[in-house]
Amino acid sequence: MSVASDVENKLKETFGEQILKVRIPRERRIFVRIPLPKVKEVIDYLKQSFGMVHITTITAVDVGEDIEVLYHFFCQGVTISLSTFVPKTNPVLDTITPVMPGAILYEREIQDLLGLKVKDHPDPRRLILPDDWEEGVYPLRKDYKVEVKEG
Amino acid sequence: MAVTIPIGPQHPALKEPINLTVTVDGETIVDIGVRLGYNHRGIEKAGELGNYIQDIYLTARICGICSHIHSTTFCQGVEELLGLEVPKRGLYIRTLVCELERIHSHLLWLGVAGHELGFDTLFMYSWRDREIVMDLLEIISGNRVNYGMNTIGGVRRNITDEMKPQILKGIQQLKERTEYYLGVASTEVTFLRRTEGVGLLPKEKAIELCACGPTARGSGVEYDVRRDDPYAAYPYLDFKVVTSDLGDVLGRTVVRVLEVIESCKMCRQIIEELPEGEFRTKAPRKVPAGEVVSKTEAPRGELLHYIRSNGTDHPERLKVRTPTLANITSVLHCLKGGYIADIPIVFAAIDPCMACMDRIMILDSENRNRKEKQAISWEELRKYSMKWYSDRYQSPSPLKGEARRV
Amino acid sequence: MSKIGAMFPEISRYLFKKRATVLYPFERLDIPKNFRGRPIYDPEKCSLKCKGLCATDCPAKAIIMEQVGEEESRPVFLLYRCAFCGQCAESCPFGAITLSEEFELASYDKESLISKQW
Repeated sequence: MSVASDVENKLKETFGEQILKVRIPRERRIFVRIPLPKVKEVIDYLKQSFGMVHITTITAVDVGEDIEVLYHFFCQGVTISLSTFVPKTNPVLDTITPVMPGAILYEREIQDLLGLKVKDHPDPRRLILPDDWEEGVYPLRKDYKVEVKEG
Repeated sequence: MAVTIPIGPQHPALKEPINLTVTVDGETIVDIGVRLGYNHRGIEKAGELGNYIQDIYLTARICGICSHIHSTTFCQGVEELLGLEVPKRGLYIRTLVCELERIHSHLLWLGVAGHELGFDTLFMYSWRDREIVMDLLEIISGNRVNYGMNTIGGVRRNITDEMKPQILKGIQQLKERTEYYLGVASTEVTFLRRTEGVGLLPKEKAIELCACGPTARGSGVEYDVRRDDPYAAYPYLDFKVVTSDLGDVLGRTVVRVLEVIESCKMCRQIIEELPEGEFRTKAPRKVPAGEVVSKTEAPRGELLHYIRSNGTDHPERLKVRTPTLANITSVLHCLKGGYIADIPIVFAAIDPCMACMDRIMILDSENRNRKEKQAISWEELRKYSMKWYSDRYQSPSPLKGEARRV
Repeated sequence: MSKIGAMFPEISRYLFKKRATVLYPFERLDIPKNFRGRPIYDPEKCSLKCKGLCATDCPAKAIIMEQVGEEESRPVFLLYRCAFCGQCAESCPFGAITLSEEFELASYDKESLISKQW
């Protein structure tokens, strides 16, 4: 049995209904959707039982009403992407830096560019945008329009 | 006597814009902050605006040195979304350029490292020999940088039979020269004194801070995307993952130099086993909706592109995670407790690419409020510095022996 | 084993060899076969009615289509934006664009870098 399907089975066993969707598009890739409050717990569980210590990055995507946040991990040759939805009306999510020290910059990056608020982040200052950037304007949201000059 | 010194964003010791705020106590760094963003160009947003063809060239221009690996990552992601099978010859040529690019990047790094150490002879000679690999890339792609080799569905230019002997000859020369530099780097006192025990990154710390690429491998972490998550033609090639347990700048140097030798062997194997047939297939312009994580091993470490498509001819979201961003937390750890004169080389040892990364600010503020003042005469200072340097070379590692105060 | 001057024999050996650089522009290196220089447009081959696939795919937006008839348009190359990637030559279904070996394109004024080859 491959590591990816092992992850799937173990997660379903432990968290049952909380695992909303699992997709294994090809070998060495797995996408798991979980509800927002469970994120830290699932990461902690994977860290304990699979030795998952490497976070590659965090991606956030504007999907209309919500922002989808994907945590990309790497463990035992498999790229595990945990995805969760954060509503735009209350874009707050818990920090995972205490469990994954490598995530510190990626959390600040999504804070800047998509206007998510990471609760209890050890260092929540701006990372990418300049200091005089307007508050409440998030360049990677879909409502931020870019002027394209021709010629 | 803690003093805060700003270095950069424009500074003679730095090759690209970055700002370091260094707090020093004598010669020892007690605190370091980094501010980036001087090169941020909004490439992820620009990627959403262009179509897939335009984005190949856009991603290639994320970095000047590792342009091919960025477009490889992007193209193979889109190919996966399309379910497109790339002809084997195309994959081999793509991998060949990847490896030549790695040789080019590592030799460039060796020169930069020599320059940062004040060993400019090494810099001049290794850059002269880097011309060999630049010429090979020029023969294959037509350009010395920004090769424009990749396209969705394969590569744009073929390798003809008359190129093969030229490439093999060049690779042989490169291998010999690199072996010579390995000898220089491991025997020359000028080099050893400045690298041994400098910028220590213990293995546990490298794992904890999620370091990647030669930075992690120089600390004994055996992680290489080429082996652990094989892509392109890597499943068909024989190579070994080079690691070093030294964990200092010397370890990272040795890893890079040995990787060049390893890459030379891979290039030879690719040329010898190059499959016949087509080198590209036609790709449709519209990509079905989906999401994909595409990973590769760039010269500097693990590179990730996340692409989400929406059924049109342009991506919904393009996310790029470059290796320098992953390694920056490690380098700050390395610098703390070290000496101010070692900043350029420790920083250069992760092979930072600001154009790739450019997005950070960390400030660890313990020890910030020290206001001790100390008056010292010129003669005392001279004696102190002579003692300091002689002490230093008795205990070469700044982390092993604590800095002695008068 | 460490020593001082590990590169010394190497340096003295190269002291009497030919220099590694060439004196451009008096000496020139050969231009490689796959080189991509200034784009050359062939007005005969252009179909006029494809609405500019070259302009759509140009990553640098260096090609603009100019109306020449009711439904017909021809490309204008803005060389000051061109990245010389050669995608236009690849995208054109009629092979109307090729990339030449011309690379010395520096100029004092922007106007001279707008290339209308028809």
